[in-house]
Amino acid sequence: MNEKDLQKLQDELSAYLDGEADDPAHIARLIAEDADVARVYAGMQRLSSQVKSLAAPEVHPAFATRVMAHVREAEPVPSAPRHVWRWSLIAVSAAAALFAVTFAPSFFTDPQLAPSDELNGQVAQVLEMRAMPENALLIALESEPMDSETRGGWEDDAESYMNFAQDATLEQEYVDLVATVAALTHDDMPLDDDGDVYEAMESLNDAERGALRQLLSDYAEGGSQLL
Amino acid sequence: MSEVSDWDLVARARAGDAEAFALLVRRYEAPLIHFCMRMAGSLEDAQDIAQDSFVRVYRYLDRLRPDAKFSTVLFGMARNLTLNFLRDSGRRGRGVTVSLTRDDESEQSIADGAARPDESARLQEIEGLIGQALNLISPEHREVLILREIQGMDYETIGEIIECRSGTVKSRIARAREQLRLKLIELGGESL
Repeated sequence: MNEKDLQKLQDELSAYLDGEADDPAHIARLIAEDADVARVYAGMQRLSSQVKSLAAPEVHPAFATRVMAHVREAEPVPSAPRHVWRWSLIAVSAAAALFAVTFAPSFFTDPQLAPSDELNGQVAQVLEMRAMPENALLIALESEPMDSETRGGWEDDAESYMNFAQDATLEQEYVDLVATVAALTHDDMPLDDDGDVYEAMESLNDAERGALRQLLSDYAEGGSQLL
Repeated sequence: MSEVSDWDLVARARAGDAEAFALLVRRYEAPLIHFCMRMAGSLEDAQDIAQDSFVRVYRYLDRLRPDAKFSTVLFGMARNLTLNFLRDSGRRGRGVTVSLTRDDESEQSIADGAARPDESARLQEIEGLIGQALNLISPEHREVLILREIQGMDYETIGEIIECRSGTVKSRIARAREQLRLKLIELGGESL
């Protein structure tokens, strides 16, 4: 059995153990018929039960009280308008179009995306809502928290950037930027929520992905000054 | 009488009912701290991260959408904060302090130095080794294993928390199990 087949078998045995195998009957047969497979599976079972039995820490009785004391001091982030995602997307699209025209004229050339005064006003509103740490996105872009084995596709890249976003605001900033590029390059694509953005990312071709990387990098270097 | 749903409590908290949010904290404090502790490697750090997670989720209450489980949102926040913590502190887990000596006949690996470990001490040793090995595998693998084995989440939920597809979760959990097995061997726990 070559390395790839072995890895696939391990994936399937592991999923079978978790009740998530695609074809459990096939895996059950393999375990029943092949002593080596049965041995590997038994090892997985043993390890799984040992991890499951790790003792949970005792929660301090005052933990919830302490949390609530901080909660009372916390300043809630204002409620977003119902369609904040959409107008945020429009606003960032306008801003991105502005510097896309500057930085990548051969790529972003749609004249319809030139910002109007109204959109510029919306950009200002978005900026007021955001507090992006200096160069945070650049740091995120340069971080490679995943090993190459698990960094398979673009989705994983995006995931790694998301992991290292400084806070939820920055995460949303990133999603907005990705949505912007997706909207610029695929105007027929529905972008109703963040899940659609991920799907959109998967559909980008290599040139578009490269442009997105550049866009994010430029954005991070320039920070909000570009906007 | 059925338990009040998480999103009902969120709605009450949004309306200014602090006790409703306190109920959510009490509902999730134990699993969240356990997750953070196994990720960060120390109970003290775990409590700080869990607290920060609750506070941040509270701050963003008005923006949460009930199209996912509340627990998914909460664990997603804790997961991001834990990874930030690990990156910022430049560590890949710490704090587990157990004897790691091989458990063959001639050596004793139990902290209390008993001549022959009883069952309880043996279990303690195994737990120590597993905890130590968990801390040695990469955070990306550790998180999926903890969410699966300790939190009992299915692949789809884990995928929502770590923002990737179920297929990725599936292969990552398998890799995590293999990494853990190899680390245990390195630590002398192959006979576990």
